[in-house]
Amino acid sequence: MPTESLRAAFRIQYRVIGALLRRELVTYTGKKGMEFLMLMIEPMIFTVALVILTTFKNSIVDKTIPVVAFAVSGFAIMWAIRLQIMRTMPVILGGVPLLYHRYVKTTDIVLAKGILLVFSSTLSFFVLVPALVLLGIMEVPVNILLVATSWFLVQWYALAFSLIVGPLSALYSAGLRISIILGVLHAFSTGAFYMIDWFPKEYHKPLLYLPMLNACEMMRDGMFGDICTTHYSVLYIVFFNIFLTYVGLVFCRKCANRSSFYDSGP
Amino acid sequence: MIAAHNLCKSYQTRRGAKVVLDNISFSIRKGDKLGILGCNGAGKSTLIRIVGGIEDPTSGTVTRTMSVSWPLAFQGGLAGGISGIDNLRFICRIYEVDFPSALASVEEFSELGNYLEEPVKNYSAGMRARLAFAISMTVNFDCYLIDEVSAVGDRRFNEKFKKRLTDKTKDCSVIMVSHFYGVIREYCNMAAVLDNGAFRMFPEIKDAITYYEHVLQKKNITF
Repeated sequence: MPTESLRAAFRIQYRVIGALLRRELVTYTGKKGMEFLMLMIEPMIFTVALVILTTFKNSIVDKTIPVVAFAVSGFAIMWAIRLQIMRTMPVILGGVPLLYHRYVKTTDIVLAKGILLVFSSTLSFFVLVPALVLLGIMEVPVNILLVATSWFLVQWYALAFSLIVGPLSALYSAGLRISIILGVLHAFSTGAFYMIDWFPKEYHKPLLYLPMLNACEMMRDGMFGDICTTHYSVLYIVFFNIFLTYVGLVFCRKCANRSSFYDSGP
Repeated sequence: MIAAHNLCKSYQTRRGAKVVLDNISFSIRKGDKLGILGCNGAGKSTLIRIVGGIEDPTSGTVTRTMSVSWPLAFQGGLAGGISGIDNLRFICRIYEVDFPSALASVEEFSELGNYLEEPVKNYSAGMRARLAFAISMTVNFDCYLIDEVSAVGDRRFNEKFKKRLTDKTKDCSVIMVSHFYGVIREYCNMAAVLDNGAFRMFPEIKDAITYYEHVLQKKNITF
């Protein structure tokens, strides 16, 4: 097999992911020019709906916390991860015809979809928050850099997770179900409905093992500042993400040039 | 040159491993046209995917010193959700081909007209084969892998297909697999038969056909 140099291989991968991204965009809307609007609105619908619900019901335990900012941070993170998991599950088996081109690898197919979703939820988040601030519904975040950093860590986590659920769903017949469960679990493990400080002290430590709860607390620290107490470790999220990325790449490697994909039909 | 060294391939089934390719070695030089005959399930498509580098053999290696096309087949290589034109765009991007000139050639050869703007999933098998073949002809390879593409076309298309293939691949190599020797007899200059995991190469096409007919008779298959 011709072994390309690392640089040439990166050039090919860049080209392939670019081509796959454009294909995704065309498939996504079918109409040119509508892509960005669709990409932005889709993740926003859910977040906005839940923000409205939470605001009216105001089910938050700690009444000193601004309810809109609380809901936006929690649901945006939760939905970004859930969308990523749900959408990358079927992507490999759906892309089998593309694997006929030797340059197209399973990793590229998952990455192209993942990058599109990162772009989609990021665009939606960075339009929604300023919009709410301009409308006067939400205060300007105290520490914007902290909010942006936590968002970056969330997206890294989501992308790494897609590298796992994509191959997992394609390789094993139980994989799809496991991936669905993993997706659902993120509804509760991301701090969308609670903050660590609401729990008795002895539960803080086990709760901090949830990486995305850390990220959510981090974002809320950036949004509220000293109004409430937050608990998180940036280093833990980074290490967890590195670990997750590694596992994802191992799974993708397992998928490369698999025979079983070609016999599964169109 | 393309050389296969001791290729083995077995699939896991519920009743143990099934050997599809058993220690296959062959090599072709630039300009060779190799036809491979085999019944359904003989492992033709598997072999061509391994040679194309999109599926790994259980053991053995394939050495390629020339560029090899993707396996041109009824399905595969085309995305169903997008139009024929978008498929062409995708392939042009991957293989770095100039899109406008490729489009002109695909329009002319495939004769799909306005259907090119429809999603490929709505195409018939014949239309899909026409598109797949037309698109692949826009990319220059040293060796083309063909998996029964001509079997779905009507007579007119098959004539056109043969002419285009002959023009395009005059100095190129071709590896073609089929369960029927029609195209292979007319087009190839060397042939092999794949049966029960064994690969037998024949320098003369007619010897391969005679042997293949013998294989078919043993299985009570007639055309």
